[in-house]
Amino acid sequence: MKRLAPCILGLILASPVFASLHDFEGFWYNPDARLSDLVTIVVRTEGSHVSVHVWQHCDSGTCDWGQVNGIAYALSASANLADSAHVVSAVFRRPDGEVLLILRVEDRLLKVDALTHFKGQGPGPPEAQQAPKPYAVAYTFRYTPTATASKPPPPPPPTSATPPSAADGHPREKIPQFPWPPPRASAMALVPRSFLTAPTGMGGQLADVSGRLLAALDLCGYSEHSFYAVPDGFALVTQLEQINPDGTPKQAPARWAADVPPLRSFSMSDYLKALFTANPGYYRIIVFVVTSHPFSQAEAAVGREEAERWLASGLNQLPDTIGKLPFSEAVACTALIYEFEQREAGKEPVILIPSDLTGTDHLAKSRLWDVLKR
Amino acid sequence: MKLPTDVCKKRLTLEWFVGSGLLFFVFLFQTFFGHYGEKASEAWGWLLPSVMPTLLLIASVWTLDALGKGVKLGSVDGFIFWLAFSLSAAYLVVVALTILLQPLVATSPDEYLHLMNQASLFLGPFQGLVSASLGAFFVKSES
Repeated sequence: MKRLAPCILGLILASPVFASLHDFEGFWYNPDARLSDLVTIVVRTEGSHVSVHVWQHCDSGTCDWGQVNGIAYALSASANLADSAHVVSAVFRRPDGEVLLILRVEDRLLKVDALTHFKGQGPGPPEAQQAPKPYAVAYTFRYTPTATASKPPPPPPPTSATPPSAADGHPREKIPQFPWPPPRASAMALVPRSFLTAPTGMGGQLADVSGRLLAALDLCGYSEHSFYAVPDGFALVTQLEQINPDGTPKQAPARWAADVPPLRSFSMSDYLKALFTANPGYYRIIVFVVTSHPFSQAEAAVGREEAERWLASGLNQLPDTIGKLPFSEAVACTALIYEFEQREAGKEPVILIPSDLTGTDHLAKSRLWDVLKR
Repeated sequence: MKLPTDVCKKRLTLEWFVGSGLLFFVFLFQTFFGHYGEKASEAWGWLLPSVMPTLLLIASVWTLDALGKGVKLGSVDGFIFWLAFSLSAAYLVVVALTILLQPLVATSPDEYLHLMNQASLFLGPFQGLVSASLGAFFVKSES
């Protein structure tokens, strides 16, 4: 790292543009990502605190590097970080070394310098050592992934898209299948294709769509998810969350509680409501079904216990065989909302069919709609 | 210090009927809005024995007064009045807290009833103490 210090200092000092820390926040997509490149960065800020979440384009689709705390740099020691931060740094520890990311915002683009340093590199000259040499790569990430046909097409996928089959070494039996047709949902919404495509609006793979959805989920606080196979695509299941009657998520930790908790923070309206009413609980699971296969919903409704098991029974990441499927024009992303009402604590929750809200309302209230739209 | 008995009785009556009336209406609204769900009868089965015996005692004395049967107005020891008044106030506050604290510590009718049953452990002896002080007061005034 000592060797990198001058580079870091140079990069920071050479940054002519400053911005507020808020400008860093959001979903950033690398339209030119090739294999092993960084493909998605999600930056969160709260006051002067910043966290950075990174995904890399890897053999199996997208690899999650996880989230780390970053450091924001202002123009001077006395400046307000939140208003004048112009550089953010974040260090990711990888199995073979560590990667320092230097992030800057310029013209609504996120300029990222990734400085990779491998283990085993001591103070001696790099050429005398066996470990790979440190290197730096510059990326440009885009903030608003709206489709613009005038942009150049994205690079070809690193490997050819291969439909899942038993012959490709990844037997389909090993991938949990989502109930098909899906159980009857409380509400549904079609996620516009433009929300899921790269800035170029061109092709891509289902892994890219998965990465986009995961980044949006992450930004909206959904930290747990699981994948299922559906015909010609995948289903992405979110964890059960507790919501208010208007569809907005409850504040954590009540949001992820399996039962309605007592009042944790006092407000007169909440208190009076809890004092006089039955204190019902509302729960929601969102399932994104991405497939080119048209489908209807089954008549049979699902119970909350069974829906809760979806999270544990699915895969933690999208299998390569599905991720490499092309995101063709025929592929649609449908959000199925499963909303459950527990009329009073201790009672068995029942699915609300139909929901009082539309599927789009549910996505909007969970902020997913806005995050995907950006 | 002696206090006029009719004034003391009116103060105690006012205290008990206003306090119990407020609790009654809170319970009424809770029942209407389904706060106790299917456990409403058990909930009322806790509240009514908590306040009704005292209310009946007070009401019966006033009835006897109205009928002019053996009621002899005079004065009563101030200490006895303030003891009865304070114990009554404390008792009604504890009953009220058992209801008003429910949203902060419980979420379901079963948990509300559990809380009430726990409160009964100390409300029972407390109620005996209050009744004794009130009874002594009213009996003393009538004898």
